[in-house]
Amino acid sequence: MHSDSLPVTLQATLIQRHKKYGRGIWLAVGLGLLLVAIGLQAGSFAQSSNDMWQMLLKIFTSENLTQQQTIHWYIFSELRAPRMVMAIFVGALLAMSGCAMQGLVRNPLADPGLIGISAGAAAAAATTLALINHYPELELAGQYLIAASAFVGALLAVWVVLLVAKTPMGTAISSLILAGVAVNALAGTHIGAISYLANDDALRQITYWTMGSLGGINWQKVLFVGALGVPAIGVFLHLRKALNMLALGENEAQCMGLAVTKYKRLTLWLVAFSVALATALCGIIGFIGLVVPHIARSLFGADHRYLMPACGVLGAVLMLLADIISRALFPPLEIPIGIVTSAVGAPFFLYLLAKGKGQSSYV
Amino acid sequence: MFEMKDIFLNYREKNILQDISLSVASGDFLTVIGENGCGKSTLLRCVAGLHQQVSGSIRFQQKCLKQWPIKALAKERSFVAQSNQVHFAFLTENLLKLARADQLETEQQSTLLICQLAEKLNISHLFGRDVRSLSGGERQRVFIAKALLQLLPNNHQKSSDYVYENKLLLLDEPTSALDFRFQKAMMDLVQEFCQQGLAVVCVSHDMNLVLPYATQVLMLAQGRCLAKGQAKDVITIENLSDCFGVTPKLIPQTGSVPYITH
Repeated sequence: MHSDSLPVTLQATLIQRHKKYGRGIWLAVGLGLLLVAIGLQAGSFAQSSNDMWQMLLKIFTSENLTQQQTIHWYIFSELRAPRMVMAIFVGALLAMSGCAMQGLVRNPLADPGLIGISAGAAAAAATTLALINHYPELELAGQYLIAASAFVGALLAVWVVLLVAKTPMGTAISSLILAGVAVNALAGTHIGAISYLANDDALRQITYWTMGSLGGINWQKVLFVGALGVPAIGVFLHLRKALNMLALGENEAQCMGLAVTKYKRLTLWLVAFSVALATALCGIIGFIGLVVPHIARSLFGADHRYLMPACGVLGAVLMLLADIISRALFPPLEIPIGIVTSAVGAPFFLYLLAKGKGQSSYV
Repeated sequence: MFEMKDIFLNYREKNILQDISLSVASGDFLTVIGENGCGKSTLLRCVAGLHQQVSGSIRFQQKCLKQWPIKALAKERSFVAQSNQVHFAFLTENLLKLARADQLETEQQSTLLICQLAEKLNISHLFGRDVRSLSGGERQRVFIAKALLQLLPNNHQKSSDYVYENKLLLLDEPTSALDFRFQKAMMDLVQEFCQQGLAVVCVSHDMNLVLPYATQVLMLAQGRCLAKGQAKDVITIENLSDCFGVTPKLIPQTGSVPYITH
């Protein structure tokens, strides 16, 4: 074979693969939009497509709505639309966090919960919930206090884990995970103690919070998550090259020109920030960060250039799906979304483990 | 081009390296030999700039090694470690592409470079395969290709002239997993690049294979330099028995380094 013909074929293969992955991602985006359309109609207050289009047309032409339509419009624009947008943000943030975490510790079984982020958030939120129940004068700022404390709790947990895992040579991944186990246990004990001491009302709220929910999401919260989440997603995309290099090991990455310590810290804090943000507003939503990168890896390969955006889109899609299931399964009852993601995610994860036994490749 | 003076390295109150000095010029091939655990790989990691707590002066291209920005350094020196683990399912060509990730060049240019070098190292047929599924020897060749790609300047055009002036390649046991054919082929290829100005520091146990290519030899024993210089001066029965604790036999070869055997 003439040596000039080879680059042409490889170039063609690479372009083809690039196009294929690009199409895959757009397909997933399309699926997400379809789910948004379904999600806007689904729920305890069913709305037929026809009614919805008529209503939208009236809004568009600024005609007056009937009384029935006014209620519809309220449910549509103030309850369902914000929670759909929230589902997209939270799903993308959690899945990208999982992807970054797995890349950082070079283990496809890792999850942001591994280093105690969710547990820290839950412990802090439980404490605040119990306090609010004890001091009713705090009730007014209740929601904000819970979100803020969950956020601080998550970052605090990561800070402790990082402090323990710090060595003169940099952060040791193995100590990071072990410290995460310890922080998880500690936070669990803390929640246990508070649940034991709390009254029934507070206990119920704590339990509900740790199951995760998209209920009570308004545009204000969406705006808040959007303003902080969009830059975070941007940084996740920026990390793609670094995560690719880190997959070869830290020494190798450093020799290839990556400021390993800096990127490790950036990744950890970004994951902590994103998960804290999602958890603070929606409670603990498990398995998205673990399962989505797996699915994405089996569809798009391990190269983070494609994997990271794919995780973002698929995370949003899965979260939209979970939200629809949680609302549509037993209307008017709404199952906490964390239960749905875990109920789907945990068996799927077992299946992945069983399937992956003895075989190391996901491509 | 590369100079190391009075290097000491302590780790956990143990002296790993003591009073090591070496210098490598463009086109040099320095071989480091010594018994297991004598500090060869550690020395190589110091040369790579991976050990921060080393004392002494290390200068690379007239600049203190610690002052090199990490990205700029990666374009001037590369390192092939003893064990090369890949933790996710990377395809061979994607792994090689990583070596060009920081270069300002088009996809087409980097693909061309990758293909040319892959042909030279006989790894083109591994494209499209998961690096983790490759055999040890195949993977070693892929990683050596990656290290060589990392050093190529981005204005490189023709496969006939690889410009490696003032670049430094560090090899830790580069032939340990290679078969009979590729051991020789790899060493010949490295020598060819040395003639284009590449400087090589190579740690190896396969003395009979590597020593004929060496312009300099450094013999290490317990973190100290036992002997240094040209192969014919360093490879003596006394030095070898001092270093390895066994007395070898030397079979003289015409015009080359003596063959070492038990």
